[in-house]
Amino acid sequence: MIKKLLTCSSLLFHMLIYAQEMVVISDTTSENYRKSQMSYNEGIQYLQNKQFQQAIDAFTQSIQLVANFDKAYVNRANAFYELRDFKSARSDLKTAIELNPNNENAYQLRGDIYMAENKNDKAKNDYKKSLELNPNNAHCLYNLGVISFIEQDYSAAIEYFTNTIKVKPDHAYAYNDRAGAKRESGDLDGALQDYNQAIKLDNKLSFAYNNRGTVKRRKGDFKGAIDDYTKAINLKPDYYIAYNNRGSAKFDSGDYDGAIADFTQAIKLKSDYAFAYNNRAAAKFKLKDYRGSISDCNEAIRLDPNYGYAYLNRGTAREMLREFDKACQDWQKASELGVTNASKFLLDCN
Amino acid sequence: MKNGVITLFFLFITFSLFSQNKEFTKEFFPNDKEGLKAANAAIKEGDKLYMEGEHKYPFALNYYLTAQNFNPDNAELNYKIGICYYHSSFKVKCFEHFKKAFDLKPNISSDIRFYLARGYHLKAEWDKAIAEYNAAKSTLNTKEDADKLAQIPKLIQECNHGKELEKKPVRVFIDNIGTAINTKFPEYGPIISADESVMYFTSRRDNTTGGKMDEYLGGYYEDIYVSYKQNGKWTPAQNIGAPINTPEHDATISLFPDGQKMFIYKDDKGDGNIYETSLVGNTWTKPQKVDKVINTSSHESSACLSPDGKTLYFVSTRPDLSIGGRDIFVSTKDEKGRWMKPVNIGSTINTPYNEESVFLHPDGKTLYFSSQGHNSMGGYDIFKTVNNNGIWSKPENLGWPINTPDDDVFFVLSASGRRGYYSSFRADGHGEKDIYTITFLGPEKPLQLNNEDNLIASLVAPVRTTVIEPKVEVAKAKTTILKGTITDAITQKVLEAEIELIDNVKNQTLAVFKSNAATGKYLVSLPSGKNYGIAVKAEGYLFHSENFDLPDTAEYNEVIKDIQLKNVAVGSKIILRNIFFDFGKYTLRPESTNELQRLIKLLNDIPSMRIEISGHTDNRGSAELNQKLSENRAKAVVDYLVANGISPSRLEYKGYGKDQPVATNDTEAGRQENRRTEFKILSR
Repeated sequence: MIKKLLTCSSLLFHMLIYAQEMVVISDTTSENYRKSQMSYNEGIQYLQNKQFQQAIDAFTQSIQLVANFDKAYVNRANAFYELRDFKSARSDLKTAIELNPNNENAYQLRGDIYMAENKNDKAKNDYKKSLELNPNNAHCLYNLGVISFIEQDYSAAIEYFTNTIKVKPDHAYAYNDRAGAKRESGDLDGALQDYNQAIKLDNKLSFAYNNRGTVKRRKGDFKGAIDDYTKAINLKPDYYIAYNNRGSAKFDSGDYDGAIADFTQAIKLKSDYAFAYNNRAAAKFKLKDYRGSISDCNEAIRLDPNYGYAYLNRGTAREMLREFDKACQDWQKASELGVTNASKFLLDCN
Repeated sequence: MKNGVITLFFLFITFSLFSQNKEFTKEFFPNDKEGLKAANAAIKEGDKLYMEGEHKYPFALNYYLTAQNFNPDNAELNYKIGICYYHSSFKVKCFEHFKKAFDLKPNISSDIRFYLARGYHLKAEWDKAIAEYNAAKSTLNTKEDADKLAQIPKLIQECNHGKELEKKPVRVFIDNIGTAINTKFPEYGPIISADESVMYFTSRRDNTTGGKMDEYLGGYYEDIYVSYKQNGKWTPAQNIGAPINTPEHDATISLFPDGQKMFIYKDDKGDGNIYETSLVGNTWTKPQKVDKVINTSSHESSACLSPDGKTLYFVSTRPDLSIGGRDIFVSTKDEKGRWMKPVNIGSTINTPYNEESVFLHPDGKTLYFSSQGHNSMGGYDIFKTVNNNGIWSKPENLGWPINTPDDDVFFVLSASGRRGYYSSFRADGHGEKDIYTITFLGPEKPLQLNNEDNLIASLVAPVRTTVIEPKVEVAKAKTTILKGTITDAITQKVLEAEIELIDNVKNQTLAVFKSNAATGKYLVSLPSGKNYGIAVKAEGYLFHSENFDLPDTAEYNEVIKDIQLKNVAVGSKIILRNIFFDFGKYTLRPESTNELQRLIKLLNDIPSMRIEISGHTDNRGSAELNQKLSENRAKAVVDYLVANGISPSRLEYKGYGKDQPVATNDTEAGRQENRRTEFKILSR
């Protein structure tokens, strides 16, 4: 936009409006314009230095000098976004888009904001608008994939991630996420291939190892799964999710003591991790430590009073202690919380 | 090393001593003649009883155990103890003695390996049992042990069944029903009402009616006892007394679902018959022998009724209808309520081996029974079969651990199917057979684990893709701001003057402005790229001219130029800043036109006015040349004016060279100022 104005300036002559001593100059060659640009550039510098409030001030100054400076609005929105002031950011982007409906970045950033606000429908619209302006915008393609994934439209997600990869073949995240979408679609082999590629592109992605571990676990390759979870943990020693998953893989392979050690570590890393308590309860059950199992289920339920699986498992442990009435109460509660298996368990309560 | 050798030596000696068969002779016990004597006496008494037959084994066992305490390392004694246990309720105890007997003296008996196999079998050590059964085939005497040899294939088959069944144990709790019912004496044959509120069972405890012992079978005679379930617990069992219980064997068979009628068993001096009794108030009627169509001279031992009371299932040894041994038979009532001639329930259920303890579930179609055939893992196992449209399904073994290698019989099931009761000899029992509760836990209840993954990378490790609009190249301010105040040169009064902006090259007026009337201030923006002529004019004043030649590259600049306009008065001088010559020449350049025309207009406006046009240079170059150049330039102006109609008489020209500088010659700016054309009013 500025460029255009500058071009036009050679054709236009200056306009001088006398207002007593004040003269307002809206000429692109004017000093105000120059100062606006300087503030704008300063703002960018602040933005890059993560001095967001200073950036906002600089962009504001720039906008005050040249009210139709759409890029300044976009960048100020960036700073607002960083300060999590989404409302102000969206307001600036609205103005930027009004000033320049072809501002690809404004749509993209507003899409990001909507995503952060979980307004995925609106985010999707903006990303698509941005893609109309630039079909090769990998960021928008990827985020559309993410939204589709969240909406459980895995085929759409796979398509978006595939397009992301076409635009940016080294997009490790797109490979990781496409793997997830394939996994959820039941294509474990395809998922495994994508995780392999994600890891090949970036062997520091702890979550990719973790995710691949789960695919291997689902394929029955418990050893491979445990190896991958271990790599994830090595990369991220506080990765409680990987500990929980490794514990589950050990559980699957019958190593209940090992499973308990991992679940315990997960709890150590995240003291309110209801999943790990529930899972440890299952491992203790396998070791016939039914009271320990109940104790862990109690903790899981305390952390999440609507945790259906914990009720289900507690009931099963109680059954083994011959506390049949209590077991049935737990299964009933689990059933009420939507655990489908519970209704089968309740058949034994007649 | 030496010590090691000695240690090994002693170990060998010790092992040899332990594994040596010790006879009950003074050679082995030279220092305990009395003990040896007593032990031998016990063996002698035991042997007498042992020789009387199986029913005396429990009595023989007591003597043998006394001798065993004195000398546990005698192969023959261990063998006999093993035999006694093998024929007792404590069957499994036979193993350690058979094992010892074999270890002490492998050829103690031709059937030792067979019994060793039985021991392993009873311990559910299936593979070892199979190995010993196979080994026994070559050690058993083909004549004396023919019956054992004949059993081996079936026993091996049972071990294989056991192996398979043990791999898939059924989910049950098997709990001793407790001391309210069980004692150190045998309890068995539990029968329950459909709602499990009452249980009758058989016991051979020391307070049975008559208090006599069965000399042939050993132990007290059977009586029936009752216990009630109150607040979830069984009350202490009571002998139900006469007329049910007698000094003879009186045992439970089955209870009608409503608990109001009962089949009981009476030995009838070995005949074994089924009796029926009813509960009237709180009293059981005198048992009546069931119709002779049912009870025969053969042994009838178990029976149950269909829920409608019209079909009777019972167990009999009657040879005329039997497939083999004890079988299950069925009889139905005719129109007059009489039992019709029974029929064998069929080969789906009955086998060439024995079937026992039949129980029809209150659902009326599921029959539980015990059998030594089918896929029994040893002795009687409990099976169930379901009648679908008159056809019994293939019997299904209730599985491990309900069934064991020993006899598992007298099974009944609650109407809910949740709990069963049966009698079993187990390690946690109270001494003899006890009644146990089987709680069916149903199919395996899978435990539910919860896991999560980071499937969406950007959610777990966000990478902020900042879409910062790029920096812009700051516009160079190619503008010169000219501003200042216009005043009267003498009075300093601010003037509202007209400011004419001229493109000298194009000789065009670009714009005309006015200074502020109140302040005299003005501001003119001059974009670079032009040669500007500025003429400031006010009524009654000489015009004032300025020149700004601003090339494209000229940067932003602010010039403050206060302009003092001079009156049209004699002696007033005006610098004509927009008159241009080529360097070193005196030919007027076209850009001068506008200024010259302004001058012509002034002269025309004031026709009487005479002026002098003067040329001036800076101080560079020779004075003579400067003077000549300045004069020629002044003359060029005059010539132009004359050519444009101004009378020569009104015009003078003069070249002053460098003599009248208006600024310093030390700077280019100053020298620029000094290079000029002026006019001066000579008269008006």
